[in-house]
Amino acid sequence: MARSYTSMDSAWRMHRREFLHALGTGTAVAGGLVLGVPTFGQDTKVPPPVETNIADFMKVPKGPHAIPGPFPGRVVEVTDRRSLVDDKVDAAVVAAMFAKGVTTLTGKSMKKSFKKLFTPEDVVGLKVNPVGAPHISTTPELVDAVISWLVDNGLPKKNIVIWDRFAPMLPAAGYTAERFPGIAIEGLQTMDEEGSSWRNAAGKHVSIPNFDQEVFYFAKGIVGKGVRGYKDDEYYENQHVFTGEYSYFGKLVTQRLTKIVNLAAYKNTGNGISMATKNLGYAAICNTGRLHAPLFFRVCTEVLAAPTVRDKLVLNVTDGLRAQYDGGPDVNEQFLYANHSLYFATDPFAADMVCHRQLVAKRKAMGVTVNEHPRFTEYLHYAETLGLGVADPARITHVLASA
Amino acid sequence: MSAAAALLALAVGAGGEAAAGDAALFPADGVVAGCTRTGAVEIYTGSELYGLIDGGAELFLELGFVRTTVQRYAFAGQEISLELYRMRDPAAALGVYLMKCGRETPDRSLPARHTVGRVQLQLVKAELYIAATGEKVADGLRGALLGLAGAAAGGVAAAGADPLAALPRVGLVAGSERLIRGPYTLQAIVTLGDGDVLQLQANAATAVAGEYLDPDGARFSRILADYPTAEAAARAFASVRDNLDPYLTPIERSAGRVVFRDHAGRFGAVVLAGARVEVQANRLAAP
Repeated sequence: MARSYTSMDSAWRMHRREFLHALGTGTAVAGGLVLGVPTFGQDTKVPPPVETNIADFMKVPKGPHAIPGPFPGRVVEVTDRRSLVDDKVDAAVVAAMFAKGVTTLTGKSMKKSFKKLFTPEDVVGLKVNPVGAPHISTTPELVDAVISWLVDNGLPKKNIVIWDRFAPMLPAAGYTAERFPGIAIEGLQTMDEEGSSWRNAAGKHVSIPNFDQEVFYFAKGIVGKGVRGYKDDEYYENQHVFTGEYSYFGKLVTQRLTKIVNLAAYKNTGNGISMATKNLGYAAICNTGRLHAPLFFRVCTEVLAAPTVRDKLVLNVTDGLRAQYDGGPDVNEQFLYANHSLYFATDPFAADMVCHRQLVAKRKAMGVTVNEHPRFTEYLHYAETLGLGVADPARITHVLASA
Repeated sequence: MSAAAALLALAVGAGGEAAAGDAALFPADGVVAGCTRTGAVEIYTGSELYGLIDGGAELFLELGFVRTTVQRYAFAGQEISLELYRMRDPAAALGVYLMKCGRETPDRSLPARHTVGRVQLQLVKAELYIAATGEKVADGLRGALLGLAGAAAGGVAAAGADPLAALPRVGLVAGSERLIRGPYTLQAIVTLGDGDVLQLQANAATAVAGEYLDPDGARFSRILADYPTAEAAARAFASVRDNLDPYLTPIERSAGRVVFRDHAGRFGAVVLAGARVEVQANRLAAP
């Protein structure tokens, strides 16, 4: 991709204004707003909008499988109280829920659903969320169900990769070669062979070769140096591999995977959620620490707009068997609950809007003070203006089903 | 040590400062039945906290973080992490606890304020917020958590004044109390504007907040911010008035009072009274 940076700032501001007008506030917006958690200690000045390469992403014609896929705005929620009893997952029930979800989403059999979304030649990445294991992470039994579906329809096991950004976190969540024989389990960021250092003998980050420096998310002036929350720049680089204005996509995503199934956990992050769009938005690229304060939710839209993600993401299943309604993204047992549901969509933004609204309702029901400021869902509406999904609740079809 | 914990410890350089931190509070091997210390004490200061906490350090840093001292214990085939968060003052420790405790489920055996579940215990006493966390549900784990946290808290003298004393009790919804010292803790309740719009950080001031029931039984939010001087409060009021979030529409402005309507059609107000600024939000009618 050519490194030209046609600014989308004007478009971004337009989306914000359109959204404000849609709400009937008639309030003019001067400049951009920080959508994420406010920067600690910042003054009251509104920072200028950040220029990114979203325009480059949008110039590329969409592929045949690009999000929002064949079912924009359609979200299927499958619930079965037998799926999680005494914190034990029932694999057979989860498998039945998965089949119900897929067939209800597509209106077709499992076999025809496979053909609609995959070919046997595909290399399919199953993006799990291992953070928070074993309390609130993607359930291995759900991954079992996805793998069975793919393999039963002719996809070789060797063409399946369970992945996340951080390799060292996968085993604790149950993603090991022993648990998933024949399936590749990979992280974009790894450690040395001894598993004790991010750096090789020459002092270089061992994960540099894992990232494709030709494919990136660019954010002008936002660099991984002096980032608040990191002891020093070396510490930042250890966690994020690169430190400049570029967040490179993993080669696994850009060069090997031909399809992605997004298997997010179900939890809050402050007043927002950390589910489908964040599961990919902050995992497909490196050097994300710099993005948190200025671009937190916007990343969840714009990284998914990148052709290398957008054109491969064919299915989202948000794992809401276990859920966390407050205290996230940290694990906090006080706020964990059995939700017994899986959410299916080809449209990740519709899925997130449905789950966001459900989580807000849960928070209220549990007596949590909820700040429902629109900034916590604006990124979903922004995605809709980019044609990546449906965020308007009035245009979302939320289907309830049981296995 | 779990893989995630090992990863974090490695990333922070094993937290390996020589200083003892609050290590003296950790119970020795065998003090709590079945619990044996494993590994060295880890100490995290300042922004190193990000190496220990995935996505929640802002809360601690904003309220007033000093250091975390961590000791891990082996217990019945799993690991318990006992984390002692020393905060700047009792208000900071209580502020963290109130944001994280949820509906409290205390055990009668432990006198300090706490909540305990199947794998995690949280406790607050004076300047310490304590978290004890196991890896998986197991027989005896709850007792071990209570024993470890209780032993650590036993070495700490209780705090004096109640940091929530300024919060009116009439109509207060139990369990809704919060302490606010900046934008992160304010945002949990309401968005008035960007950044430190209430100038709490600028004045090293603390606000107390809670949910209240109006005479019709409807809930609304109330925030009371006390400043060092009336002048500082006036500047904070002006900051909110002049930088009001674009989603809040002012419907009344006067010298010491702004009434607004929010994006959802609810109402709120910011009122200056001497050295105090009071904010109300989420009201069904204009206050």
